[in-house]
Amino acid sequence: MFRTILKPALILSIIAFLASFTLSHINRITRPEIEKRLQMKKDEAYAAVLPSHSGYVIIEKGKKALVDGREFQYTIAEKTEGDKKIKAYAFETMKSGYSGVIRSIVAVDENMKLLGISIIQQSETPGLGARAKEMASTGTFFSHFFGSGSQNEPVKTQSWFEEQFTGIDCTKKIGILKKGEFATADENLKKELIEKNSVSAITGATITTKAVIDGIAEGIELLKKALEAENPQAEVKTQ
Amino acid sequence: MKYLQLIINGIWHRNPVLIIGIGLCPTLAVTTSVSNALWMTLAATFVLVSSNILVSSIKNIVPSHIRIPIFITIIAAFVIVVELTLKAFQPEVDKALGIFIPLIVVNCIILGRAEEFAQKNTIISSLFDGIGMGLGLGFALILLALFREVLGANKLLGYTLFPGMEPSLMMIMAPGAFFTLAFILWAMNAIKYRQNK
Repeated sequence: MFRTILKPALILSIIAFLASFTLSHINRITRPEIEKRLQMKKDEAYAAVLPSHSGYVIIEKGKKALVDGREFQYTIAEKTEGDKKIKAYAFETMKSGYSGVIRSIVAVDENMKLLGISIIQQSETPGLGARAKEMASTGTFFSHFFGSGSQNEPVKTQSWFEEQFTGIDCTKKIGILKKGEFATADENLKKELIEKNSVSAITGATITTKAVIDGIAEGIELLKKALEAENPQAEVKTQ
Repeated sequence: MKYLQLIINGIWHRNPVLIIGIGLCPTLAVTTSVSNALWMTLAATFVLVSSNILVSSIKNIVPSHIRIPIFITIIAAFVIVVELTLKAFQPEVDKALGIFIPLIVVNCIILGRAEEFAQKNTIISSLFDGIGMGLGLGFALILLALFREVLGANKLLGYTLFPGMEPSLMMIMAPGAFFTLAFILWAMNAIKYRQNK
């Protein structure tokens, strides 16, 4: 009885207790750091989609609205142009990508034109979908290694994949074109993409691209409903 | 001398990935870049060495019929330590490796070494066995990642190698991992065959 049941149970409990005791301490040490980083990432993302040089100033953060029985949070920013006040909205949206959730911060102006997006969480395949966060750089291994050239590149807040969303009209469907990398795209391609209201997919990761676009579309729908609920008289442009 | 032999065994004669053929899941999945391979090696080696030491030190009080749940508990605890530490202090690495950090729990190399070596040997031997096996895993991962990153992404440690060269996409995807692994195994067997002759 003791040898076959009680002793093993006792040993297992002791080990499980020691393990959870240690882990709770590790958790206590790392938790604040992890939370700080998440908050920092969100703040950075909001700053990236509503940059200070655009003139927008955040006036209300995390405004809550009830849309279709779900809580939806959005941030309102405003800028003064002449004697008119122009509003912009930012929200967080998520959608399943190729592996796991892709979470992004999206900012649009009054006419539902994208001001910018910033992906804050993704677990896509490294080298493929994860390139959604890859910064465009002209530097090479050799130039970095030998310290020549490309050292004075401006620090970017958005990856080349995120950059191409700026200026896209969200009242229309956002298309996907397979035109190669936007990072090395020339002016003609950029013009063509804006004309066709499309973005260029990441090579080999169309699912990731689609997930980001679907996430934006879903978020825009919720935002429109939230705004309509807020002031029913105001005309929110829809098509 | 005995300890040096353990390390050499881990790297070459009984390399966990290239000779025994275990722990292939992370080997195929995270070797898309050298920095991923390096961090994976570090994480796995830390868990391997720590669990080897702990398993070896409690080998006399663990009843043999419940040893597997105990080993798994120990390994899982160390993996969570690694995961939380990476999340807090190396978020970039945590993001790049993603699910493969928690998956170290089920890495056969670690449970395999606990079962096959640590529970039968002294603490010091287990420590060196862990280091040897960790280095062996690192050798395999970094070798694979070198080929895959250079050919598949035209990069080394994240920096572009040859501007303008179109990399071969296949090398970054799963088939590239299998092909590269096959070529490395071929080379290893050829070297061993010549040594024996």
